[in-house]
Amino acid sequence: MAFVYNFPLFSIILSMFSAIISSVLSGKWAKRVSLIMVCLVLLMSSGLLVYTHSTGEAVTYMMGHFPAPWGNEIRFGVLEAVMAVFFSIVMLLSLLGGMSHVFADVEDTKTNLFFVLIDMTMSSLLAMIYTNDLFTGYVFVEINTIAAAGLIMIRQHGHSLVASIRYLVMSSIGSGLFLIALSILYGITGELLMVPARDGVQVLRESGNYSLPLLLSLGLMSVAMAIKSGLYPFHTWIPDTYGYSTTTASAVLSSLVSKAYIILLIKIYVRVFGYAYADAGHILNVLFVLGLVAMVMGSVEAIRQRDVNRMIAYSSVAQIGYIYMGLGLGTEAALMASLFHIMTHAATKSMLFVSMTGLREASGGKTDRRSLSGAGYRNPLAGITFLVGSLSMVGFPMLSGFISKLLFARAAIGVSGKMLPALLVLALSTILNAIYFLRVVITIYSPQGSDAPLDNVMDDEGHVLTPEAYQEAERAKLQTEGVFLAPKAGALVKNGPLMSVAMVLMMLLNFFLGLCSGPITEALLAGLRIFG
Amino acid sequence: MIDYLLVIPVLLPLAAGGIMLLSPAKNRKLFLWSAETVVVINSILVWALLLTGTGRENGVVLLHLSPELKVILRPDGTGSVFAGLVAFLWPLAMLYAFEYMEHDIRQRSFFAFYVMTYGVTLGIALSGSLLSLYLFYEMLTLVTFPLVLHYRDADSRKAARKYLYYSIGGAAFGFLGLVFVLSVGGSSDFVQGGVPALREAVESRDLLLLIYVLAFAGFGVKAALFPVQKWLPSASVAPTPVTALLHAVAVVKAGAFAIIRLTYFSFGPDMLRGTWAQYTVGGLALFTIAYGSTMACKEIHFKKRLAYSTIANLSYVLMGCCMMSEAGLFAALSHLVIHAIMKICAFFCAGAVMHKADRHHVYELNGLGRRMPVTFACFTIAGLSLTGMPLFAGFISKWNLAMAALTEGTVFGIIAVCVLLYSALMTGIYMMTVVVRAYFPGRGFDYNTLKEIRDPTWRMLLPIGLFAALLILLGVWSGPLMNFLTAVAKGVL
Repeated sequence: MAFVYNFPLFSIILSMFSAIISSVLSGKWAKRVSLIMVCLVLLMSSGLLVYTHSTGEAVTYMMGHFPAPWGNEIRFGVLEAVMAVFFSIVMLLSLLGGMSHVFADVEDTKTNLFFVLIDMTMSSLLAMIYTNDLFTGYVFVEINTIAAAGLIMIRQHGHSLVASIRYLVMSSIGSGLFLIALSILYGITGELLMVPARDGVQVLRESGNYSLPLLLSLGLMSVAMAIKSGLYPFHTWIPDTYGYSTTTASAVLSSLVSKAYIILLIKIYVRVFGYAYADAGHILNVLFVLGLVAMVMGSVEAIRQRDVNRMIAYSSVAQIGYIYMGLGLGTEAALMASLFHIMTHAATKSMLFVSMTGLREASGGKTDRRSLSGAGYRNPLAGITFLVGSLSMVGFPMLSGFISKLLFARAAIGVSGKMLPALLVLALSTILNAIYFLRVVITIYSPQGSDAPLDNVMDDEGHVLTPEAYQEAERAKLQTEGVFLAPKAGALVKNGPLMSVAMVLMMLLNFFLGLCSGPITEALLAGLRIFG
Repeated sequence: MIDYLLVIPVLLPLAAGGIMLLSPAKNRKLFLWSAETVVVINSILVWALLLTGTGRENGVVLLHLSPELKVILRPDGTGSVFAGLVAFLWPLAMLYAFEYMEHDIRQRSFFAFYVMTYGVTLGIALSGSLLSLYLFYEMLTLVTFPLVLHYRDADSRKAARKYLYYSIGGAAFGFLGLVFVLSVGGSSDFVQGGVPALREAVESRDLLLLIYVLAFAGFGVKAALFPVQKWLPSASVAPTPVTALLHAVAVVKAGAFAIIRLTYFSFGPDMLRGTWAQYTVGGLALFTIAYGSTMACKEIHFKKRLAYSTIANLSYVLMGCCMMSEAGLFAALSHLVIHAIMKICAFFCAGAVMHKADRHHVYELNGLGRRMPVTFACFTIAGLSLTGMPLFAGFISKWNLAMAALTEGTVFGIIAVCVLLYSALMTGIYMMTVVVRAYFPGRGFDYNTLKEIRDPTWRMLLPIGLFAALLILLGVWSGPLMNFLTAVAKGVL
């Protein structure tokens, strides 16, 4: 057994212990511990990726060499390794991008708790990716829920308190359903480890016994995960949660936390029940339809938002819809597209939240559309990052969103009955995405005062200017100065160095996914084949 | 190895535009003339590459989006026509823009994006596969939208928003076509007559036709096909060099060009001929011709009237394309080239009037013909040519279109000719009312009110005059160009 086999367990344990240690450290040290932990996890996951890619086999790792029911299992292949690497990259970038705001948004005495929660989130994400045991999955689902609720609440802002209560209620319903489903499955198969449970399911399917409880169990698990990841009719907790948390929390919650549940669900489908069973029970059809509805309704809701943070949050509803649409198509190619879209969305959404923070800084802390006008000039880097993120969401070629869209569309071709709806909704959703994202892009690149008088636009004697007068004055000033450059729209805002680095890296990550998708999709496909 | 030179015309303007955006240069003259130099060098390079046939065989792979998705540049005959046209027009339009934009406060970003658009348009023209065309097509939206947004006021924001939504929405449907060509055809590389595997896919014929119609309408957004034409008249809020070059040539022709590529080089005319898909898209094109010409007569804003005329004329190109025959392709290409010259000439005249006289509506043009003789002489030539008067270039391409429609021998062809005649009548009305107002303002018109108004300087007049002269030249001596285009349509080039 190679030493590298221990890496998954090490990374889970490491992040849990970081949480424990951080609880007694100061905020500053807790931050360092978190960053070091994420970097180490990244390194270990990369090592694991290299190893699994070279062997091309899935490995089942028995913890402490105890067989079930005492022991616990971890299982990993290329797919798990890719996801772990990717999740740690996005986690690292989100941490860097929102670092300065953590210290601004969170009460001084509680900053270390923030990092405790981040560490716990990280460990539960990794555990959900690696675990081969349904009950362990459940335990970490709960840990994740608690940590996420803490992350939302820690800003201690009226909205975020409401949001975290809402999140807690919705999520607990999800967890409860999952637990019930788990009990049913345990009752009829007597197994909790995934592979033996699959054999149990197989026996039941062949004998025809307990067919209703079996279907019920799968259905409840699907609904539970749909609630937790915010599929359309269960999405009501999303906008407040993502919209009002501190930057890092929004980025982590939207791009990673909801995705881990989907990965767990895929694992349950592929490894425990078998995809064919889910298809035969029409559960995939339900997911497909809900996915399509989410793609449209998420965007429609997003269009109606005034607040840009909430708009980005609603866009997550649509993107989650894409992922479930892929699940619902039920082919291997579609599943791969969904997995790729998990990466695309994680990379892009975290980038949008971080850049929106930069733009908010440049607009007096406001995030409604009107206040943001001209922000792209006042904070150029954040403006460009937002532009790239928006284009990626719209599916602009060379960015990762395009590859997702292409994979989805190609996967849809040939799936009878689902092809045309999928393709048409894909096209429609592109238009809707363009409507709300590019509207903001236009706003941030339109100078202040171009359509509405702002309170702070005054002439030398202190009279408030009408927009026309303001523009005229600007024009006259430029003419007399003999400058032919574009007018400067307000003072430049400096980003923190960490934030700038994070934004640049996020853009690069997005271009990387868009331009070098070949190896990634191959790895995902190879991983998917040994996933079951 | 020499094939790699093909990359330069696409990347050089993009790089130059990027540098222009960021450069701290304060000297306007130096800034602009170096931009012009880059554009001229680029155009010379394009023509040199096209004439030597560089990269025509194998093309150049620009980048891989994934192992099987290659962005490839390969100038075949059809691509060369568009690339050559664009390369000819761009330096002249830049020259015109120097004077037109001289009092503007955002010249830096204007010229930067103007130059970038050049590279992207060449990318569209030189693309060797539907995928690369799609890539540049999306980029075109991106680099031209700052130009529409140029004045940043409420109107231009609204227009830019409309432009973006329409374009991206259109591209989303074009994307469906691309996905089918990739998945069913196996590769999106252009082949004259259509991608073989796609032509042979028999069982899903109706589905393919449906996708073709959707993709046609999708790319038709940029070509201002009814019912997705609305963005074009609103986009005339942009500065005239943009409306003239982009909204009469580069952008809208990119849409028509993409449709030609889609029809003749991806799906293949043989598969489409005689099907319901042909009649659907053909019907749309014919309706758009009638609609555009009629609306142009109704419109009193000078530039918007020309924009409606563009809508009609683009559908001439699409109509030729819809004939699904060699003659149709030939007619489409000839109108693509000739309309570009006519419309840019007309727009430049309109821009000159706006710039020198600050008049924006048709009813304000009375008597200007005497004060701006060169401008209005050229406008008259462009107008006659657009109407399709013999001895002017417009006649040639309309003749080609009518011939292509008649050789079809179907009812569709006959209806097409009738629509052409109706549109010619309307064109005569909407162009000639302008000319008549300018030259014959009516009895007792007081020319003293126009005392201050003059023709613009050589930088504006040179492009205008050159285009007008070219229209007459092509009208009386179109042989070489037409032979070339025939060869292109036959696929021997």
